[in-house]
Amino acid sequence: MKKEIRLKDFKPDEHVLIVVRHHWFIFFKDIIGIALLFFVPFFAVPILGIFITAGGLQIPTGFGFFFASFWALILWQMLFARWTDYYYDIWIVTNWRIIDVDQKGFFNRDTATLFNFEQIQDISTYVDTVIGTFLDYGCIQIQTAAAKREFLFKSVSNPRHVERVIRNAQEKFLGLKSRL
Amino acid sequence: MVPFDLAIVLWPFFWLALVAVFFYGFSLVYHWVRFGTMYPLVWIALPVYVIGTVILIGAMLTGIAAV
Repeated sequence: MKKEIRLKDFKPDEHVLIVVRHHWFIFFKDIIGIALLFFVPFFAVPILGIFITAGGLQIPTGFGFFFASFWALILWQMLFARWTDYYYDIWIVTNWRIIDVDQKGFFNRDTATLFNFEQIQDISTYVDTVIGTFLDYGCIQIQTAAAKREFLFKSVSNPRHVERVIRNAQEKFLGLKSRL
Repeated sequence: MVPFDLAIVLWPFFWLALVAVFFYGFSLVYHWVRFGTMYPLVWIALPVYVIGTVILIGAMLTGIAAV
């Protein structure tokens, strides 16, 4: 059974409606970058080998194998570091508010209420790239009455659906509040 | 003259890699224990990470042994 997310400061009747993440393509772009770096030694080592042998030196075969493994291990760490950054950065939309969980490095973690629904003045979404149009990801922009007026969440999967969820939650929240 | 052991050059890199691995492994387990319910994919990522890391550390040791 999937366990529901509950933060320490949740109100008794507060529950999560949707967890918003960046689109998987954002992480995929990082994977492509790391994969390209993985192939660097395949080109660099033979070129380096030519210069070394021309200089009359000889490098044992174990050296190449060691540094290839070392390089792969560094990239393996980079891959998971990027994954952590991608996977841990979320917006949690509850029936009361929107919470931003921001992962900064390994141990810095910022959890803050961005705004309550009564502060939201307008929500808009836009898809501004070709790939974003095909894969259905884009930005959600929220305007508020608070001191910091605009919030932007970039590269969100299915932004129109998220917008709908926020709008519905806001309507329900304001409807309930007016009845109190 | 005493022959120079080339493997001595490689050991600092090996320990550097090991420190990085322990640092990241610890941070991942830390988050997994603390926020596991929020991030269920950690259950899959952690063993994948550990298997890959063990293989690559083994490969580094093989490289040192082959020098």
